[in-house]
Amino acid sequence: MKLTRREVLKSAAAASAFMALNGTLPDLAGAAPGEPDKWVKAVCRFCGTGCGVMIGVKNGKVVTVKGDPNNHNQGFICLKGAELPSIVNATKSRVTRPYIRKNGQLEPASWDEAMDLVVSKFKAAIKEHGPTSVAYYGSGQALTEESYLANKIWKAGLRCNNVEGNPRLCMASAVGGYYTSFGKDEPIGCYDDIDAATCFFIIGANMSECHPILFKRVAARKQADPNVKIIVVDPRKTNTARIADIHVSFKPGTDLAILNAMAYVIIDEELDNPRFYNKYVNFMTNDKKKVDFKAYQKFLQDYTPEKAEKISGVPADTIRKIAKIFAESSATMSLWTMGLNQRIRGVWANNLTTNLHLLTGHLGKPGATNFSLTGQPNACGGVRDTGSLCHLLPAGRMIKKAKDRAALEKQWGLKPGTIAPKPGLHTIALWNAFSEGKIKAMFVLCTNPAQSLPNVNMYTEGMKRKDNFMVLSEPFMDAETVKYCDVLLPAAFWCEKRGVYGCTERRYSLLMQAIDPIGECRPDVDILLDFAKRMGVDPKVIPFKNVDDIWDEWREVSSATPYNFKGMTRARQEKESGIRWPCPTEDHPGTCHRYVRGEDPNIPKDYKNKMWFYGTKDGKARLWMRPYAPAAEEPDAKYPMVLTTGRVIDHWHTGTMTMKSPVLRRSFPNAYVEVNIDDAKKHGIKNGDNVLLETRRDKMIFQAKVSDVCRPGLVFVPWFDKNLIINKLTLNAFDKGSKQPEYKICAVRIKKA
Amino acid sequence: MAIMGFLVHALPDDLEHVERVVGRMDGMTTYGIHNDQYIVVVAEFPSDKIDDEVNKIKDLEGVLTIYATYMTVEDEMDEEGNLETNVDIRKILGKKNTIDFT
Repeated sequence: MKLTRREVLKSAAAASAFMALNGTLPDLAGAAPGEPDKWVKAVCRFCGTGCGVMIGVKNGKVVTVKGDPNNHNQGFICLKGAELPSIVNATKSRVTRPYIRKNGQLEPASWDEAMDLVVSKFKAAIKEHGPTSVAYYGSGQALTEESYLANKIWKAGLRCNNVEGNPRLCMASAVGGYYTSFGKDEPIGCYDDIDAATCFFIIGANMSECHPILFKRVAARKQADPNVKIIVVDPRKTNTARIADIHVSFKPGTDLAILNAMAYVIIDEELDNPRFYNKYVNFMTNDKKKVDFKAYQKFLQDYTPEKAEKISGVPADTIRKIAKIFAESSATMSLWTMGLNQRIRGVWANNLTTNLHLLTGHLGKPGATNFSLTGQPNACGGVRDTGSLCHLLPAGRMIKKAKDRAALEKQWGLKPGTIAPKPGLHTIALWNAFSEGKIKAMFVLCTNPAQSLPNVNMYTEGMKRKDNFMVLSEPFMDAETVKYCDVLLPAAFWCEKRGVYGCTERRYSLLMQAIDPIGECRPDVDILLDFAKRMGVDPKVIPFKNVDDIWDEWREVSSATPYNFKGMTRARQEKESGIRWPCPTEDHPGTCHRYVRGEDPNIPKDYKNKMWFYGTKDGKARLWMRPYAPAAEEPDAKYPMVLTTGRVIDHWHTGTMTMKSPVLRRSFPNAYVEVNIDDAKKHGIKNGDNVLLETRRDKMIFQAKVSDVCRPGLVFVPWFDKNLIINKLTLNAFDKGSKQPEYKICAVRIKKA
Repeated sequence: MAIMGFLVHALPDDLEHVERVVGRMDGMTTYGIHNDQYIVVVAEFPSDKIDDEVNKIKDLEGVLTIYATYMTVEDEMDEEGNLETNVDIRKILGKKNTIDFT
């Protein structure tokens, strides 16, 4: 029987679903996939899950995307990932040549004209005001090689530590949490733990919409074993909560009290694990003093379930119940993301979640781990690991530590003292300084700060100044920041270049180039190399000819640290679908669990204990006594409700990519405000009515979605919509430790418009 | 026409009902219930219409979510490899190929 082309494609689509389900092809007529000219291995462009994809190319165009059955996602992708062909082919909205702003308008320019102007502005700023007057603002969506290169150009080449990026806005509190608890950043466990956990403690994360493929894996685990328990702690009744055994709704910002109360119950009910914490844990006060277990017990007296109920609104019995389930499970896995991170007490919230694992010993065995989810495809591998933030150096080294600077200077072949000892400005401080005209020249790459910064009006006003300069490397012409840049560079998009993405579970996967860049677009690595050359950076410092050279140096740099992934050669990356670090040699399979003897290659096989937290001086993890503290802007008589923001399933970040897909655009064409039924009645608001939202920063009208998703007193607005930029209303108060802003909570008032 | 392969993830008690309803929808072909929680489905619609149909499935009682595995728009590309649904940059830039500073 001869099949039509359409029937072949249809069979291939069904076969792909069966492959994802069972790893085998069904007996479908024509199931042999309708092959394009070539399949190219890559990683999805969107969230931090890092799903492997195969890109089908025909006649030089991307026509098909399917899940990579050999990567962790086992062939599955979400609807956003499936829409990548539409987005790649939205070529008419691409920036295809450089532009220079003249008399307020962006006008076409040649590459030479644009780069000459950029370099003249950076050189002038450095000559007149010193190296701290310039900055780089990068992205958790840039390739690893791009971030590593920019970091080296600035910190070693220009001697400037003003290197920041949007991961400061989403992951910094998780970094702070891991660092303070274990002495090193990045998760201990991996996605495999989902398949072995018997309890999932999901707090401050809406996995069903923000990490759908991991949510599928959690749901599959529950399906396979109905005894598996799922606890969801979230002020919103999301789709994630629908599969939970217990959904705990609470007054926003009070989860610190709930987590401490859970610890109280675990000890009070004698469900703690002294064998674990006596061996592996130090108890620390908030002011960094080592104390004993009794002092911790005393600290927890302020957090009995009854006292926590008064703070959080969660019944004491519910707190007892979830604490028992957490502790009594044979393997508990915590999962969290922005609900904990985007807070002025984000590091504390991370610490208190980790405390529950240290207290119960739910660490270092299959299914038992504390796992922070990430929001961007390369926040972990690209920015956190390469140290492309103002206080970091590559592979977990710190700028403020002389020993770390010296070690890197030696590896980079720099004169001692080349790297400036003072950390640069963190994101909010950096954009404050830019808005005040103190930062004179800023290089923005692969991110959209004019929409994504909190309290964004004050920063877009700063971007309009005539005495500062911003160059933007960006693929899409309608990105909000394009309105404000002085020079616009046409960046090659996702599948038009080659490099690495590193996802949440320490997995580094190579994205192979599928098609040529359109127009005059260049990969960001090429743009940065050109910038360094024109700036006169010593070619010995930046000796790279191409993206693979950068990867090879980065592998070598990592080998002197516990991150060691020297074994991830390009040849191996091309063959395999992602490898988890540490991976010291070419025959090493990668590491599931860090800090565990027999798994982590940093621990000698004959080490005396099963675990070794080698990031700390004495090899012990730290359990922190973090008190409850309120949000930066609590509701009051004038602004009596709480505004929170986040993602929806069909859009990603500022919508510059997902709004190009007609499917996704029509699914959620505009931002809206989610209002609780009781609040809607109180304010005379019906579903679809226009509602005025007003905070101390700005006011804006949104269409109402009335439901029971938000608890009374809380409203939610997604942030993808460039026509309704909710960040005009959000707050730029930030965590003192992580410097991450509190997007998740600010005071608001609403009325029918 | 775009073609999408996907799994519908539904609550166990609603699976059979969901499969029946999806199977009756125009443009949808179902390939049975699997692993007691998924229905394999292939959808065929113009890419600017497929969302309406997929959203109908998402809105069915008992459906938790949808996982895609495959999407092709091969049939919808013109000779230049563009989709009809492309955003026209001229609408953004205006006739002068410049951007107003706002």
